[in-house]
Amino acid sequence: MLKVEFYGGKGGVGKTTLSTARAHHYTKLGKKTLLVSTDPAHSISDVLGVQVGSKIKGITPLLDAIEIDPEEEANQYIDQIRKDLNSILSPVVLEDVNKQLRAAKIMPGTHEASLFDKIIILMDTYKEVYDVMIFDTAPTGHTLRLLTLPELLIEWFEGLIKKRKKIVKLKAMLGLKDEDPILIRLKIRRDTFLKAKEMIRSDNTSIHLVMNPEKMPLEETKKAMKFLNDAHQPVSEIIINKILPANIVDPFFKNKIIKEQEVISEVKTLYKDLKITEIYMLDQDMDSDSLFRIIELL
Amino acid sequence: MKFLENLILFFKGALSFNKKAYELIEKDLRQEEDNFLLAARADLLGLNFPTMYYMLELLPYMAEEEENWIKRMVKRKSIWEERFSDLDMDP
Repeated sequence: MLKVEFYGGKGGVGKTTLSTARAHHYTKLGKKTLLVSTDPAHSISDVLGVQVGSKIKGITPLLDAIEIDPEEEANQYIDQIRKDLNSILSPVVLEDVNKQLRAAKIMPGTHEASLFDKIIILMDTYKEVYDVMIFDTAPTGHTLRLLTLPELLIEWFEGLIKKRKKIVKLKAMLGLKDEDPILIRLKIRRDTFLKAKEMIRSDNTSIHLVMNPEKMPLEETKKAMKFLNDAHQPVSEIIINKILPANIVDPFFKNKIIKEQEVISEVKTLYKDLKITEIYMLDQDMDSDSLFRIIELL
Repeated sequence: MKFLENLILFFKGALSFNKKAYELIEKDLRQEEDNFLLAARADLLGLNFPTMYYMLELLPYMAEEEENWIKRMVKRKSIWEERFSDLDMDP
């Protein structure tokens, strides 16, 4: 059974580092793992030290990685529609539709939808290939929307299907054809979103929030926790990253360490039931060489 | 002969009843198709919907219909005419 983990959190807290480290961690346990970056500002290539790209790429025998390119996905989808448009004969309509398709490529929401589609396709197509799939997501708001999108879309599609069914019924009463390609497409979409919802809600899917031991990331984590709780999407782990080591004696850092520990204990009291993972700050920059030090901490 | 005349009248009535019923269903259908297009493609009238992206794949099946719909939506006067004619009245 495929295990899926989503890593979210404020920008710069270390989502990419930790999701990459976790991916390596699973490969050490002998699990075939796919690491997926959904952040438009991809950086897993930098952490892995290998250029990844928008096609699945082998990194080690057990680890594969991919950086989803929403623009490329949207273009593929729209170009496919353009091919399907051959059935339209009127050149006037065709020209208008082509204008519409060109506009769709840059419309708000397009990249979000194409990214979401690719995530569903990956989860569904490769569920037999991988043991674990790790998603390194974009900063919090983006991730939260992504996880709750199926719910919203299912409702929309249910409404459209109901309306379409009425039309098909009336057409049948008039003795017109009763097979409706629009209804068929709507149902296929709805079923895809139902499947996505099921996969995201599954016990094998978990959400991991990454934060730093500071006030602002804490506030954002609290908001995300509330949002996900309201959406009945439980979080299974909070990772507190870049904690200053306690053995620093410099007075400047001593005060900082006290503040950080306050934040850490607040997290521990607020979310007693969750797994809280503490990762200490390294004395070097993150790259493929220093990554193993984080893997050991997980 | 009287019988035959009555028979013809009967069928005329029956057929025109059919015609009336047919027209009523056609009207319903037109209205439902408009409703569907509004729910599916309101983005064409300037409203942003979360399903916009996914509606593009329906274009091969309803682009022609959309074209007419937009024209009708833009020409509001003709919509009123349509509605009045639904009620067999002049606007």
